[in-house]
Formats: sequence, C-alpha cells, structure tokens
Amino acid sequence: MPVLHPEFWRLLSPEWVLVCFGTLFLLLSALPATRGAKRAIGVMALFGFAVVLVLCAQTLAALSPGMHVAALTGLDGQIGLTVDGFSQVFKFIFVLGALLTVLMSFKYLDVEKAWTGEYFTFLTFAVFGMMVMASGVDLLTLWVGLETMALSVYVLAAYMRRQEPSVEGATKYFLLGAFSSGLYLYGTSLIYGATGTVQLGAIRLALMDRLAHGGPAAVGFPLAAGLVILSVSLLFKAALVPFHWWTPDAYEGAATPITAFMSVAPKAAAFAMLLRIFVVGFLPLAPMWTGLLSLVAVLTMAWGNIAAMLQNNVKRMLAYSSIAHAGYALVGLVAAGRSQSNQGIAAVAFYLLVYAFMNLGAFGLVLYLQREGSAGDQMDDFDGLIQRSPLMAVLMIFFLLSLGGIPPMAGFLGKLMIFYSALDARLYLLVVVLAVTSVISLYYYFRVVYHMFLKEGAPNLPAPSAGRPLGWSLALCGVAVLAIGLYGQPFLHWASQAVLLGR
Amino acid sequence: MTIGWILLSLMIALCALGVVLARSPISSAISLLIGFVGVAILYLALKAEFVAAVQILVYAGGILVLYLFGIMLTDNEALRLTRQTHLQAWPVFVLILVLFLAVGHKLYHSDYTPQQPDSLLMVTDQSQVQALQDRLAQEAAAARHATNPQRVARVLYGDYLYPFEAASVLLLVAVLGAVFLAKKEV
Amino acid sequence: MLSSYLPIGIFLGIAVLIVPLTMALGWLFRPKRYDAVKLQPYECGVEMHEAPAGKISVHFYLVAVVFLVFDVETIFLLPWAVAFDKLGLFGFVEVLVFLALLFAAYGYAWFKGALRWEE
Repeated sequence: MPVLHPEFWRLLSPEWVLVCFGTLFLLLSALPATRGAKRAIGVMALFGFAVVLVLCAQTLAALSPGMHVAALTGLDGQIGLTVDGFSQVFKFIFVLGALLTVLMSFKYLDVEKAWTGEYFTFLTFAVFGMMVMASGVDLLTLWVGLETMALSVYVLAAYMRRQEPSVEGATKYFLLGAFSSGLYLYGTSLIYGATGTVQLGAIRLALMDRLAHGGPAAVGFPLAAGLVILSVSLLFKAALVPFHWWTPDAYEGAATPITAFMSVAPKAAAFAMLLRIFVVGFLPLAPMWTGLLSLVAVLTMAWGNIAAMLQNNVKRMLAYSSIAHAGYALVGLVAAGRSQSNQGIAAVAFYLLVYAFMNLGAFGLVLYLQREGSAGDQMDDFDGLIQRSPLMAVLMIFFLLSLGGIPPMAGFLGKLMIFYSALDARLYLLVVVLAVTSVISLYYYFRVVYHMFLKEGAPNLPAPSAGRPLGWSLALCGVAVLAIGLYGQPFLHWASQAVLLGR
Repeated sequence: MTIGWILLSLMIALCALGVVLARSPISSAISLLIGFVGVAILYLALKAEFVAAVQILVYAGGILVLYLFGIMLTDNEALRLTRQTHLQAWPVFVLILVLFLAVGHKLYHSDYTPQQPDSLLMVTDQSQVQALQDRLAQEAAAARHATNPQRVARVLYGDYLYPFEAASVLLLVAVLGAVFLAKKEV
Repeated sequence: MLSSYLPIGIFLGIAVLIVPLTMALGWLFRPKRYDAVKLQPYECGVEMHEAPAGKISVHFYLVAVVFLVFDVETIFLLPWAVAFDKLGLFGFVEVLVFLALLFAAYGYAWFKGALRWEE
C-alpha cells in the first residue's frame, strides 16, 4: 500500500486522527482559559478517543480475513511499520484504556482542582507512541514510539508537581526509564552490527541463515548480548521482576487516574513490543529467550504476589498486583515462542483486554473513595463500604474476584487462556507457578473484601460521591468484567485476530 | 590505521569511564566532551561526515550545555556528601556475571530447530530478494554521485518517512514536557 | 578519506596543545613567591566570607531544552535542504507536516511564556 494511496490513509487513520486531536488540545491548552474551558478539553478528549476507538475497530475489520495483514510501503520499499491484526487489536486496548482513564479523571481533577489541557494532550500523545510501538516492524521505529510514549508518561507521572511523592516517583521512573532507553539503543546497535539491519524480518532471515549454516555457535556473542540487553530494557518498561523497582513508588506517587493508566496501557504497549520483537524478529532463537523469559516469569509471579501481601496502601498493593499480572501475561509470550500456534499471542491480547477492564475498575474504586485531603488509597478507607454504598462495594468485589481469577469473572477466562496456551507449549513448571501464585493472590484481594464487609467504618463519614463520568466508567468496567466472564466467545474470537505479520 | 583505531577506541572508553568515575561533575562533563569528539572522529572514519557533524553540533554543542546547566542547578555540597558506591554493588556484579554465563551456556547448548515462517512479508520469495538487490545496487551507484547529507535525506525521507514524522511528535512532546514541568504557573 | 581531515586534525592538535603550553610557559617564567596575601582569591577589595551562590535559575535550563529540541529539528531539515530537488513534492509535504507539528510546539512555548524571562 503506497503512501499516496487512499487506503494507506484509511489503515493509518487511528494514528493521524489521534495526532490531529493531540495538536488541537495542545493549541487549546496554550490559551489562557477558565476551568470550564479546560473541562471542555476533557470532553473533547473523550470524544476524540471514542472516535479513534471506532477507527481501530474499523481498520481491524477492513483487513482481509485470511491474512490480517496490510503491507505499507513508502516511496521505495518498507517504511518500518505495518498494519496487521496484532497491531490493531493492541491499539484497541490502548485507546480503550485511555478512554476509561479520561472518564475517571473528571472527579480526580475536580477534587484536586488540577484541571489543565496538557493532561489530555500528554495522554493523547502517549497513546500515539503506543500505536507506533504496536505497528513498528523495525527496531528504530519501535524506539521512536517507545520514547514518545515514555516522555509523555514521565510528565503525566509528575503531573501533581506540587506534591513531593509525585515528583519523587516520577524522578525514579524517569531516571531508570532513560537508562533503559539507552540500553535499548545499545542492544539495537549490537544487533545492527551483527546482522547489518534493524528490520525485524531481515534480522529473522539473517538468524535463520546463520543457524542453518553454522549452528548455534554461529549466532555469535554480539548478537546474543544485543538481544539480552534489548530485552532488559523492554522488561523494565513492562515492569517485570527484577526490573520492577520503580513501579510501586511511581504508581503510589502519581495521580490515581494516571496510575490506573500506567498500569494498563503502557504495560500493554510494552507487551506488544516484546511480542513483535521476540516472536517475529528472534523466533529462530526461541530456545534461548524462552528460557530466559521463563525465569523472569517465575520471579515476577512469585515476587509480585508475595510483595503485594505486605502492602497497606491499596495503590501500592495494586502496583505489585500489576507486576504479578504482567508475569501471567509473560507466560503467554513464552508459550508463543515455544509452540507453532497463534494461541499464546491471542491469550496475551485477551488477557490484556480483560486486565484493562478489571484493573481500571479497581483503581476507579480508589478514585471513588477519594475526597478532599485524602487520596482514598489506604486499606482503612475501604472500611464498612458495604454499608455506605453497597453498589460500589459489590462492583469492587467483581473487580477483585476477576483480578484473583475466580469464575465466573472475566479474569478467570483470561487466566484459563494463558493456562491452555502454556499447556499446549508444555510449559508445566510455569503452569504450576501460575496456579500457586494465583491462590496466593487471593489473600490480598480478599483483604480488601474483609475491610469492606467486616470492618466498621468510621462513624458519620459521608457516603463518597462518584460523579457521572466516574460512575459510567465503573459501570462499564463492571458490566464488561461480568459479560466477558459469562459470555467470552466473541471476545476470544476478537483476540484471536491478533495475528502477527511474519509469524 | 589499526593502531589509530585502537588508540581512538581506548580514548573513548577511558573518557566514558571518566564520566562515571570522576568525583567532580565538571570533570565528568569534560570527559564526556572529549568522548563525544572521539565518537565524532569514529564517524568520520566510517565516512559518515553528516553524522559526525551532528554529533559535534548536538552532543558537544547542545547536550553538554544542558548537562552543565544541570550541574549548576544541583546542590554541589549535597552531591559531594552523597556516597556514590554501595556494598550492594558487589553481590549484584557477581549475580550479573552468573546470569551472563548462564545465558551464554543456554545459547550454545540449546536445540535449535529453525522454523520456516508461513508468510514472512518483508522478504518472501526470490523475486523480491532480486528486486531488493537491484535496488541496493542502484542506490550504491547513485550514492557515488551524492553527497553524504543527500544520502541521509534519501533514507530519512524515503524509507524512514514514518519514524521521521513520529519523531516530530516526539520532539513536540519533549518541548511540551519541559515547558509544562518547569513553568511556575500553568 | 580520513586523511583529508588532516588539516583539521592538526588544528585540533594545536588548539589542544596551546592550553598546557601556555600554562607551562607561565609556570616557567613567572616569579614564584607565595605568601598569605598572594594566596587570597582577590588581592584587593572585600574579602569573601561565603561561597558564591551555587544554584542558578531553572529558566536557563528551560531555554537550553527548547534550544536543543529546535537544534535537532534544524538537523532534520538539513538533509532535506540539500536534496529537496530529488525528493520532490512528496518530500516537501513531508517536511511541512514535520514543521507544522514543531510550529505547534513553538506556539505553545511562546504562549506559555517559556521564552520570556521571569523573576
């Protein structure tokens, strides 16, 4: 599909429409405006993300059913990105996460009196970066996407820049993030030096060529070192153990809707990039990197769940829980490297969709409890919630059951798919660890339930107010978690469209 | 030639070490500067004159100034009192070494059965390979007549058109973020 | 070839050598008499009683960041400028899109007063 062809523009419509919206928000936020006008930018962001969500679904449907791939070319040859089923499925997840985040932000920004247009501008450009990460088929394109996303999220993490924890968390995130970006480029340069290309398809061919002619020894040290260094930087971005240290501080310090966003969308983007690089570019080396990533998956599931048990701050607890969930998704990635089928990739995509709903829902409850002078993120804030607002307490139970992977919630189905794909690839150790750590996770999820049901809340505490946008988003997440769990077939079919180009 | 190459590499490596190990931030900055110049000479030796010029302009000219401003913004006294090494570093170093050896072992003693891809779209059949080779030959012929920046332009505005446009968004976000975080009132 | 950069290399060598050379010459010829008065930072004027203020305004940093971004932008434009006849209309439109986005950034910095000095 050459650049000047109309179809090219239609396939890339999510990207350019999003950039247009972002630039619009940028220009609007440059003007001096009242709080009402800034709120209007929020409404426009809502509209913009909704439009882009529809465009993502449309472009996915437009891809031919057999291939799910459209080749994009520039003036002469490749332009470093593709539109395939995989990229469109992931873009849908990012935009969905951003849309729910915008809905949830209204109450937070009202209470903190922190309305700015920039908030939505950064959110928009962060999602654009993620889209590049999902579509890129070339290590440099992927890097540009990664940096665009990362810079936006650094600023969002420091958004409450008058509050010390926010700045502290964002600084840690920024320093480690900049370091890992450097590592990514270092790894890329080693790989380029060894293979003479940064295109994933060509790297794959070069690797197959070497393995066919010289065996494993011909892979060579620079290439192997490059791959390991590259994966370290991506493991950092996805917050996997042992590269997760920034997560709890950054999540606790950031504004709650941003924490919710960070735990869902950038994580999904990092997984999109991991899948693309490992399963397309480095598939011939799968025996090597699956071993490495299995180790990381075991560590992540174990440490994420154990550390989450010790937390009294719900945001911190959810931060560790999000580390553990990334570990579950990593099992799907390892399975995708071990088996020929597309099951592992579909399982990861489905899991990340479900995770977006349930995790955003859980963070939404924290936002619901937020009031002036309190972030609502302590365990004690949940005390006796069943008496104060029974509906919200029931919703929280939905999300927690889903996060814990209890049927009939969506999280159960998501874990089941990961489970199946791992069994299919005969990763029995990972299956056992996944099952055991899931049981451990129930402890800390039920701790919140215990606080909501069995603890007495402080007397004459007013019932928290949600406000309409937050209420809608919570209702949407709740319905989705229940609906996907009870009737998952269409959603599973949707995720199975995540076919990687060149896989 | 080889000796010059070794000396240059050694100089760059020493400068890089100097950046990390120097006690005073100003010394770090100066070794960084020398390192940048060394890398620029490396680019010149690789016949990438444009990149060498960019290296001097952006890194030695821009980034280093930023770095110096950064030093002046920080509290020197607090920096001096901060311990720059930790006892933890040693076990971590050993751990990294062990992991590295384990990875190397795994790499060389795994059973590789390369799978043929079903549809590798980038380069699938022989005709495409031929077309690619033709194009590369053409480019090489054209390159003999083009100057260095012109060849960069060909790649940047042809093959890398999309990352190039995405880079403009990246730069936009960079300006936006800096202004947003540094201004007192927004 | 690298040898065509020999003149530049020689210039660079001379420039680098001048620093230790002048220092050595100064050390060689100056009278070396040290006493308490000579070792003071200023030989005349008011004696310093505390270190000069170490920190500078964050505004310098902001200006430097904005400068750097537009520096990089210029570098992106240079290859286009030397090859715009070969890149044609397509390349022109590409550059216009690039410039439009950076112009938006410039407008933002301008309206937010990032380029204005404030106390």
